[in-house]
Amino acid sequence: MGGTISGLFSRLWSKREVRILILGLDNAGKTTLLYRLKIGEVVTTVPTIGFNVESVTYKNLNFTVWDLGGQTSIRPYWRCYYANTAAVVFVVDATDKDRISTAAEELAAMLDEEELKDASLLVFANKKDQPGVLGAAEITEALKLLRLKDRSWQLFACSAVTGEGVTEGMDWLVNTIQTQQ
Amino acid sequence: MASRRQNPAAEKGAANQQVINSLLKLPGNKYCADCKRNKLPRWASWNLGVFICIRCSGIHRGMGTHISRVKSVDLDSWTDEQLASMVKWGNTKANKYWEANLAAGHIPSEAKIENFVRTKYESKRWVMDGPMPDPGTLSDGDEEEAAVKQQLENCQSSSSAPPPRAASAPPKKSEVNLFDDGLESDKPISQPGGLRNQVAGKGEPAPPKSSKPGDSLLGLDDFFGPAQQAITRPDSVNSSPAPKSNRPDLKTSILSLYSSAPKQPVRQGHQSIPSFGSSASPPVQQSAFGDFNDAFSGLNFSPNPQPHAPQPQKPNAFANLTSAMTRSPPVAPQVTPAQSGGFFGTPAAKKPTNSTSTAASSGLNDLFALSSPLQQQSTLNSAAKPVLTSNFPAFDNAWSSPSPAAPVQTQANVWGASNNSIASNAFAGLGTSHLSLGKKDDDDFGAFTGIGAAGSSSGFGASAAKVDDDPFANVWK
Repeated sequence: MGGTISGLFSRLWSKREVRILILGLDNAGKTTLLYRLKIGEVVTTVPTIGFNVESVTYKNLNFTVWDLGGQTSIRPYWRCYYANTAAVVFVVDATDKDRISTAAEELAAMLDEEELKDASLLVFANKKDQPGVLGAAEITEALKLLRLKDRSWQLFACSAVTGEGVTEGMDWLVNTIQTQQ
Repeated sequence: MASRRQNPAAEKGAANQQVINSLLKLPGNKYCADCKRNKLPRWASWNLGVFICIRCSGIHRGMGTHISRVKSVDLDSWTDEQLASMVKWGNTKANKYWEANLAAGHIPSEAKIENFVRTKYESKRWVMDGPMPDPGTLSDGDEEEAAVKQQLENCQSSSSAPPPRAASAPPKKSEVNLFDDGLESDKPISQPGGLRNQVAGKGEPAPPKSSKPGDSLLGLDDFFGPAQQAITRPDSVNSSPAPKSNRPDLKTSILSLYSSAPKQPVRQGHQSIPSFGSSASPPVQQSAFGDFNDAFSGLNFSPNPQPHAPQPQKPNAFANLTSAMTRSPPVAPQVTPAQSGGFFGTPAAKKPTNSTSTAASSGLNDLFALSSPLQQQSTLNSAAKPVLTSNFPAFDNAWSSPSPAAPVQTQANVWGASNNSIASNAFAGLGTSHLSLGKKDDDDFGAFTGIGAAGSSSGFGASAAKVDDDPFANVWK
């Protein structure tokens, strides 16, 4: 067929595997987001003990998306997955005002890591479909995102359940990764 | 990770972790508060104060943090506030509030768990009328209250020094804990009429002081289950307190596990004795047990007849054993492990079986060695004849042979073989695991060891249907 050249072209593209981590506190919505990306549906989840990993193709990019459990005592294991990570998707439960500071601490500790110094940062303020969520500005402030230096980052309010805002965030991520490479 | 400043929090978390684990040993918290099916929940909604299973915790998380705030018992650190809520509520009280208008004992159907949980907490369909009460007013009796306090005291004192458990506990509690203590401390304890003759007293109505089976503070009640009721039930008829060593008590109490097993297959046992391995009885496991018991009932070790005979309608094989052990101390006050270990095989002196086992576990070893020939034979015979049913009558044969000398010989052979074989005693591990179970009071995984123990009780008990869960089930196969 005439698609030989374009097939070759897309094969070249698709050879690139982009490694992405989805991180965040427990019950932020990481697993729901992962399967929203993977199958476009809402799955019934249980707390992730360990991780979930899926390969997701989005706009000609092959992502290997790791969703790591967020319970307190397994957060230290996140670092085992940092190497060769192109981007971190940090998911925040925007309804959980009490723990936004904890999320900020975890984010800061993570971004301190040498292995992640080139990784882009996409922050999802999740659960925007719920009443009484923190606004994007409040979360930006709480996470001290404006103080980040030498880091491409962006925050999107989203709902992994409704799918709202997820596409925008992923679009930004694809653009950022493609321009960096 | 040095930047995390987790150290003070971690220390606090470790202390709180202990409290959480002790809360989980309360009877009300042993099952998921919502589905009521899953045992030993390891998750909690701390604002609701309930312990739940991981599946229900997923549903709780889906409802949002304004309704439920889920934490893991094992994977999260707990603040004082969160802990206080769990102490204040707990599954029993919380369900008194959240399921006040729901039929008692309702178990939601497996397929509708999510619906049920959301209806329960989101729609508040069954909630108690009026404002949310102080959980203290939802008290479900003094026992639970006392148990909570006791747990907390134990926990606090154990963080500094080992708790003087028996001393600090009120008398009632210590009675409940008799068996636990017996397992925990290897020294003799004096218990006036505590564990004696529970076999004989089994069928009697519960005396006023009978305690709830779930009152064990060590989370062992899963294991002892039905047997514990018998154990904690002091026999009011017999009242001849005799100083006894710990061993026979352990034995009698564990024997009560056996005594509850063979109810209906007893008749079959009698019939199969003359046929020497004809293996005619279809329900293999139970009938084998029955044979076993009946074989013992033929042997009367007790020189003096028991004043109060065991249930006449149910000839209990081990009643004789019990009486033999409990009566013998006045004659020979020191029942050493070796002596009592030799009980089942009077020729203990001939065989070196007991000499190799350690003193700490020999009592239990001997006890379980009672049944080890079953496995032993199956392993020995498996090459020639792996058929299950053929092994047990063979054993039966050994015990029920009419001539008094023959059983001794056969038995010595069998047991000697078991001593030399690799799997020298299938239950040696079981015995020691019981001991360690008693010691694992505050261990994180005490609850998990409880699972294994529960399985083992089903192995001995009547519930042969749970064989799959039973780590020792192969003994009977």
